[in-house]
Amino acid sequence: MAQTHATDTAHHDEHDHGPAQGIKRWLFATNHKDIGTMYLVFSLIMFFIGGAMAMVIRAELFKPGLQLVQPEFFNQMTTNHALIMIFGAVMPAFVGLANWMIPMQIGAPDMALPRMNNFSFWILPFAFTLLLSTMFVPGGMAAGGWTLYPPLSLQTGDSFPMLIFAIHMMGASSIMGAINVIVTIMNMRAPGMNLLKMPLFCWSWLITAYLLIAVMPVLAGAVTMLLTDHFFGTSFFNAAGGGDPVMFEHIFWFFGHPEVYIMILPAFGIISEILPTFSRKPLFGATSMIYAIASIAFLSFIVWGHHMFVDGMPLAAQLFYMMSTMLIAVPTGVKVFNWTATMWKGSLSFEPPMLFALSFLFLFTIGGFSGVMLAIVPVDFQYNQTYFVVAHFHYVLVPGAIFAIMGAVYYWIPKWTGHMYNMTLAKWHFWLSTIFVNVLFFPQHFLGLAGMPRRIPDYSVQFTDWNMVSSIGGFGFGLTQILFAVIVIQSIRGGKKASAEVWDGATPTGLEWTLPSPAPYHSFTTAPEVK
Amino acid sequence: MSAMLRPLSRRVRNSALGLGAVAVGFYVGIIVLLIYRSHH
Repeated sequence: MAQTHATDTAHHDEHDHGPAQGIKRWLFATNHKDIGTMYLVFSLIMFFIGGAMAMVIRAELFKPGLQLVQPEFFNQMTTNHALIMIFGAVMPAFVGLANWMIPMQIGAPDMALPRMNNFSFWILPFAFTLLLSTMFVPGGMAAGGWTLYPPLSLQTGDSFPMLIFAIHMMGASSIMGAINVIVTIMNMRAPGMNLLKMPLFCWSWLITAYLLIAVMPVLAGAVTMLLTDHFFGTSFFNAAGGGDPVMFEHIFWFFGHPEVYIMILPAFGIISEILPTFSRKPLFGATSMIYAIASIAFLSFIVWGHHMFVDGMPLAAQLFYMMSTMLIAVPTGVKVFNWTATMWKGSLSFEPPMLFALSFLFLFTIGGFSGVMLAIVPVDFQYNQTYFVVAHFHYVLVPGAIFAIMGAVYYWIPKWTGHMYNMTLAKWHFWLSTIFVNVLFFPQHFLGLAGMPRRIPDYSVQFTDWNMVSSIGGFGFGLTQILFAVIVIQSIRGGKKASAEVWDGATPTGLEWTLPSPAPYHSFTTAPEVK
Repeated sequence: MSAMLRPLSRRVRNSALGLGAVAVGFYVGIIVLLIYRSHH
């Protein structure tokens, strides 16, 4: 789509300088590439910490009866696994990719607000150190679920204010990151790069950033009110004082449902970058993809009630939330159709990024289908609070969001490090991940349909077999991810030199492929002209 | 001076302040909404 015009972007003028030396480079980083790297490394560390918690969960659920941990600790694991994976792994990974790629795709020298960028990253290690340190306070970590529903969440021990403060910090970080993305895209595109020429990854992030600014403050408001209910005698959500605990659920899910799309829209953008490259064709229906993302973002604000069908609500509200939720299948269907049409009669090749994108396409769609099932009110009455829901959102988030992140890393890491990675090992990583993720989560559909409740450390014996299968899949998936870390480290340390184009026959939409590999520390110091 | 002619730094600052104000507005707004609701 976008083509540069006679601009030597590799050229450095005499005022250019490299990175600072030592720890100062990272502490005082304002370079978008350095900050992007820190976000991605942080996200990987959190992925392994959250993954370790998942291993505890699956080990405990390997067979019926209490084996390894106390029920209270099990609940702490489910709660904090979710918080860490959502706020610590998936979201920072997307912000890291945004930091690396948005300036390079739109031809900007850096993010618009580099010092705020530094601040929004460095908040995160403090937020998660605080969250993880709650493991050592009286009463342990929060155990009432990541949704923090009162009155249960108000029974949290001494860790409660630490949890609330950590969530505030994560929210502030996300909001600052979102402001940076919007301001960069709206003000710093290269001459000639109008919005419709902009790569889909930037588009998906632009819309995601607006979602973040709209809903993260709502979460912050909700948890502030939880804090005042707990410590200052207010009764926002306390029925005994005239408050309404169901109101918390409304406010939480007004944040929570767009949050789900915050975790998937950038993934849509990534898939829209990878599939055309390895199909050697332009993206089919690129403009309709933008409208589809915008439609999904709009709909995400009006469907929150589908999380609360069993709370009891008027029939008209049930119908509204059911219909509006099902409506999301339309723009999502447009996207899946367009991705498929992009590959149609393409000259396909199956390098690791393409494999992850294809896996995303099939497995995310399974998660989408089970989502439509859950949208049906009477069906939801059956499935609510069962493992079917767990299977549904893990299909959306693991082979959905996380596979897209891994695909993005395999797609762009040669541009970042200047080295190709071990393709054979990466294909092993792909196949083992794809097999194990299905062994892990597909049986959970059966468990849910058979009535196994979620968030329990023990279960009836009839659920044993599929739980064992699921746990084996979980251990396999967890171990496989060590391969990912090895491949990334190998690519940073060395390997076959990557060309500027990196992927043979690619049909890139962004300007990143006009830069040499590795991309220079300061790129596009002179704005390229886009024809 | 039209918006297009403004220096980039001013546009960047104004956009960031505007978006920040929206975020603070949502934060304060949701709390004010619930306080209002509890009194009516």
